[in-house]
Amino acid sequence: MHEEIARILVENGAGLVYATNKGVEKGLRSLQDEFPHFHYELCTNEKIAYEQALSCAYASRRSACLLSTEGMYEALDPLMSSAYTGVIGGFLVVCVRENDVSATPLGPFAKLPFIVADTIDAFRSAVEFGFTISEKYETPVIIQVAPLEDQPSAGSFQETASIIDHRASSIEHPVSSNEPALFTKNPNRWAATPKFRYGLHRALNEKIEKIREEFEGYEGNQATVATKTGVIADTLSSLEFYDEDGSILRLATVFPLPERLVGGFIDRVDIVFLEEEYPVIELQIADRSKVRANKMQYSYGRDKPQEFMHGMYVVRDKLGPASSINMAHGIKKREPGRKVIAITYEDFFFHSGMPAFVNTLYNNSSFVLLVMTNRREEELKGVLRGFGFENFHHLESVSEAERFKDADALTVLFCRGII
Amino acid sequence: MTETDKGNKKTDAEVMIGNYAIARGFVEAGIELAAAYPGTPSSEILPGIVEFKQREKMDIHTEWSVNERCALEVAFGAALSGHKAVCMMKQVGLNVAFPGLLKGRKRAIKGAFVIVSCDDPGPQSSQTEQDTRLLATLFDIPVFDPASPAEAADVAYYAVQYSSEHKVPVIIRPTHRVSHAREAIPLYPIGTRTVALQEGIQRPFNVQCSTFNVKTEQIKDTGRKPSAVSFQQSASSNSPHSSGSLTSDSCELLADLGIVASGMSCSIVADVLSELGLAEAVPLYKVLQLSAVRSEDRGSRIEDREAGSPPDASLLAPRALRSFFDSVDKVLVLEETDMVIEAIIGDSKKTFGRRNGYVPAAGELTYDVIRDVIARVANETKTGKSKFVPDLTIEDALKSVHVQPRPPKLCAGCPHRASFYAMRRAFPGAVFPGDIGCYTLGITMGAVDTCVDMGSGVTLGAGFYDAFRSEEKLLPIVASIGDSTFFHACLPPLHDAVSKNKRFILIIMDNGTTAMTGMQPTPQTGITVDGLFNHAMKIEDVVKGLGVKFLRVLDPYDIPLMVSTIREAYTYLSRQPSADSRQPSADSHQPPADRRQPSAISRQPSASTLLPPTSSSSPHGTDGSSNVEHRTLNVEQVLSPGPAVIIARRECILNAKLKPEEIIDISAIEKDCIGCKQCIIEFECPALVFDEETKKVRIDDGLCIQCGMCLYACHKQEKGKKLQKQFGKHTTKPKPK
Amino acid sequence: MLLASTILMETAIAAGLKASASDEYGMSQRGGSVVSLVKIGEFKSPLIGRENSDILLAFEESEFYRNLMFLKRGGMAIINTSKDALPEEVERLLRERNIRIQKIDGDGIAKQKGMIKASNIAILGYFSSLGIEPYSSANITRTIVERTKGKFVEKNLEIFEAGAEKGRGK
Repeated sequence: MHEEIARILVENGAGLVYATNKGVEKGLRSLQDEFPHFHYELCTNEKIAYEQALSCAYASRRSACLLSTEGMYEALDPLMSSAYTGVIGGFLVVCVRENDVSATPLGPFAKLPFIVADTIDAFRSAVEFGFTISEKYETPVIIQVAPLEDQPSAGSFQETASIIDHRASSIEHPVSSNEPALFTKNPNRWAATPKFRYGLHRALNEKIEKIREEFEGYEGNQATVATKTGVIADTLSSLEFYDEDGSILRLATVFPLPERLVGGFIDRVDIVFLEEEYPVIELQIADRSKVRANKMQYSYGRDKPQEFMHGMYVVRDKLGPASSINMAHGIKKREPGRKVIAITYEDFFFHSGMPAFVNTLYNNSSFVLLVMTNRREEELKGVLRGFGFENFHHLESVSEAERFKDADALTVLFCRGII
Repeated sequence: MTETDKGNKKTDAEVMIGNYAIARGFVEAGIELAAAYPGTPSSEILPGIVEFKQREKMDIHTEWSVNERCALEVAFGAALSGHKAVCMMKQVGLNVAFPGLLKGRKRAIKGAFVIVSCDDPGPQSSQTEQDTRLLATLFDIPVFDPASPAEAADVAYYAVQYSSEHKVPVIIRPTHRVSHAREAIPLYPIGTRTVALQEGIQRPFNVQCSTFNVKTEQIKDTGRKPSAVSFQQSASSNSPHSSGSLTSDSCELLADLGIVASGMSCSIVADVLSELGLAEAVPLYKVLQLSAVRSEDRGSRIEDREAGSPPDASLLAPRALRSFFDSVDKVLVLEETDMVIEAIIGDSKKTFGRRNGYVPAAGELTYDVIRDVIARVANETKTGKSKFVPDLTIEDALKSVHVQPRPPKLCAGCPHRASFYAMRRAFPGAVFPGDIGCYTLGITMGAVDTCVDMGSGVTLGAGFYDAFRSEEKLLPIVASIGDSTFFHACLPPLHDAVSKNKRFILIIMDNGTTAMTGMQPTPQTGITVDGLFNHAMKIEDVVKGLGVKFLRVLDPYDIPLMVSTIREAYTYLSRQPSADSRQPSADSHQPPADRRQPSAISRQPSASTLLPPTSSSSPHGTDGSSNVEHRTLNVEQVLSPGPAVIIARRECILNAKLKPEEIIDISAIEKDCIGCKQCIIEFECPALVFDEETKKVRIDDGLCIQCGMCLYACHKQEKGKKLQKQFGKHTTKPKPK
Repeated sequence: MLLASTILMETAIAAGLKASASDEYGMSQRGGSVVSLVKIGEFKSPLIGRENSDILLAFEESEFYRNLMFLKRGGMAIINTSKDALPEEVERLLRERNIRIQKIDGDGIAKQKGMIKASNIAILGYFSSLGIEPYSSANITRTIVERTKGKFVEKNLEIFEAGAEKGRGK
């Protein structure tokens, strides 16, 4: 599925694609065979992927980054800043929905155009439209897409056919993704200090209004008016049930809201049910007297019972990659006597664990950190030595961790596998 | 209406800024842990907590964390485990920390967890004007917006209790005007503060609406005396204490125009209404909290859809606000920095605000702006014939006066200035990705081209390398970051760039401190916010540990060495076998034997553009790539050809005076001046002043520290001539008009 | 860093009045502008708009011009300058707006006493001689003593007194 997404991006002229998910690698590599000038890269974390893709867009090259919706929030800092600087080359930020986290709030929060696509065809239209908008208004554009395997099977035969057709045409007329890079220095924009950021903010507000106008006519927004009861949603597939014969507005462009389209729909019905997880569309509707916004609530989830390992209190990466390190440090600063073991993974350590580990050394706490490794133990050791830390040990199996249960100094254990 | 029966328990009042008031509120509330990363306008809160904890002899763990994400996760971890913890940051710092808050916000907190995120309308010192309240509203996190330093102290105290009672994270978002305003703040002994927060219609509008009180739990702390906190709202119908009933159906019309405001904007509105004489005519509703967890609302959030159920906007808007809204003909909403309350109300037909252009959608809502908006709206609604007419003869008279613009500049003698000067000399046409800190000010010297966020110096260096990779010659890319930024945001990107052989030059400008935000210590020094020392680490060791092969450490004051080292780095990078345009596979992290085989012709740099390195004094490692001992390196580790790192190290001159032997006689600058102004254009030291009368440069004794760097920049001096001869004249800036 | 606004605020509070101040931070150390506002009385915010201010204390001539639009008609200004007269257009404007202007060479006074960086204290000294309550010399002196650390107290008071003398002399 990621390969399909990447293919569509490349077919639309993306010269560089940055991603983080190892699962996409095979697909991206085979694309490179087909499109020799195409550069793809897997990055250690999402912020790196976003910022590298962004710099290529500053250098006038069409680029994209491919993240999960949850991963979007890892790139929140550059996302926010890039809305102000804008871009020159088209820049699409594609996020794939892999769990219940949606990235739609980032549209209004970052003031970036946000399109939701729920079929492969919708995605294709969104990419083509997205690059056009991105270059015309010099702004990153976000496209959120659901995992395409979950598409309803009805109509999939047609979809397959269209994919094949499209491919055939793309091989005959390959889109060049190798336009030359050009970076025009303009520090008042690309390196804008606060005073200049004010001007960029004003320009951004104007851009958003113009894009709003463009969204009025976007084909991905589909309104059907039948009965006097209406439903507005960004993805129909996530609705548990809806009246297919009723009035439906399938709204792809959730930010900025096409006000005439939405307002016109609301005018023609007596009551509107707005289905979304966050008040994204809701907060943009100017008059909500006829609107019932139902927040699709996800259960809060039950906390699992507290884990212990050899008497040590186990801290997991509950708040994100390698967050166990920071959390363990916080606990130990208040409870120095408690035996704590934090458990993370080598990929997560490189993702976000290094500053966390430096923080632990700098602010002085001691616990056992167990890093489940795959292939990079030596590399990890080199990094730790660079921090001036040598108290690491290799374990053949996790059970050996018991040797360290009474350790009173900061200790790092490496062990292959996953627990 | 306060609940306390303890009488006036305060001991004293002290004048302090809003950030210290927040610190005071936290300490009195019995917090146990506070973590932060410096960021204007939030930086003073942690030092305030340190000061008050020392005064009150409280056991609170305080730390400058390596970045905001660490600060948040450290505090959150402690809170989930049963402790009262807080973290503080500027609003863009919340971007860095947000993933942890996103993932953890639904977990039941056993202690308390408060996040202070300081917004920056203007912006005065940030890269965006984002509104923390909007983020909180989108994600259902309670957020408070204090309107004054005194209120901020009370809010801080209350927020800890609120979080503890409802088991949710809570955000306090002051703006810089609240954080840096100064007033007398009452001090209470620990745990005894009397807090009476008021949200709703402000006096003098004498509509006695009913109130309800939210009584919170007493502070459950070891032996501390309990206190009482009350949170009032007026114009609500749900209370037994009503002295007049005002329901959303039966609201009488209070006025033609009402104002809804929050934060410092609300305080300014009150002053403006007084000034314009509209205080009696225009009721003012103050919003203090959004996204509240209210018991009477809670049930209705997951309500099924009944025909008669109220419009959904009210599920976001507190009932009292809705009542007020219904009781006036028109409403003006004044809030910073984005449209949040206005959007929550969801009834644009009778609202004046950002949506219909009455309130500016960018920039700070200053007193002048608010005065103009209120006067305009008051006139349009026939509420009052107030107007403020500015006397523009002031501007007219000043037209003839030349007022020197005062853009911020690096201090006289700043080592960054020397570094930037060397970077421009070495490669005038390079791309210069920059980062956030004092060194962002290299923009005016033409040595910073981009600045996106913390860490973007490294990532944009790597990205530009990719973007220009198909070019014939290696594009010179010279990126700059600071030492605090290095730890904050550059470890993963540098590690990533090394693993991909991204060939750019990275200058780490190490001045030994976090300067821009007020000289906070860094992990390199090992000194913590409490002034304790545990573990120091040298940046060069960390860089080596990440696998960088070309590494130099030098003193930026040695400008010729800087220039030659940068050029040497470029030579080193361009001599490397060109990176395969195919992506290295995931298992390339293992050192495969064939990895160094060049797959393309390695290019010889052309003779005219590069010169042999002329490093003057640095000791080199045996392979010439580094002047740093491999103290901690794992020698089996394969080192990467790129990026190349140069640490330009000299202590910030605000921290360290020049040693006597470093003080240079710079009188020749004035004596030999021919008025070409190259030093001013290329070097920009604030101590170099061009005298319009003599048409020559003179030195401002009050600013000059006699570092002697200007001697390199002056083309009349030998050093300037030498540099010019070696590396070619560059005319990067147009001559002054 | 002891700001003039802090001294003014605390003097007012010590005299039993309500006061609040607003300072701009951050870029000041890097040579940028510093503007402080002090409001005394029953105000809700420490901020002002155009032509609201009763008194403008300008510790540098350029700051005077930059902030002149805050000064109300009939207000008072004190400028740290060695000049006898400001540009003609400015003098005319001040007369038209009925602004009482006082010029004092604070830099000169501080330099003479060997502490050029304390020129602001000289200005405050001068201000204290004008009889504007609660800013008497005694009151401000008390605040300075309370808030200044150790060895600088003496010097600061000397400079303050020199400024006050200048004011009484006029």
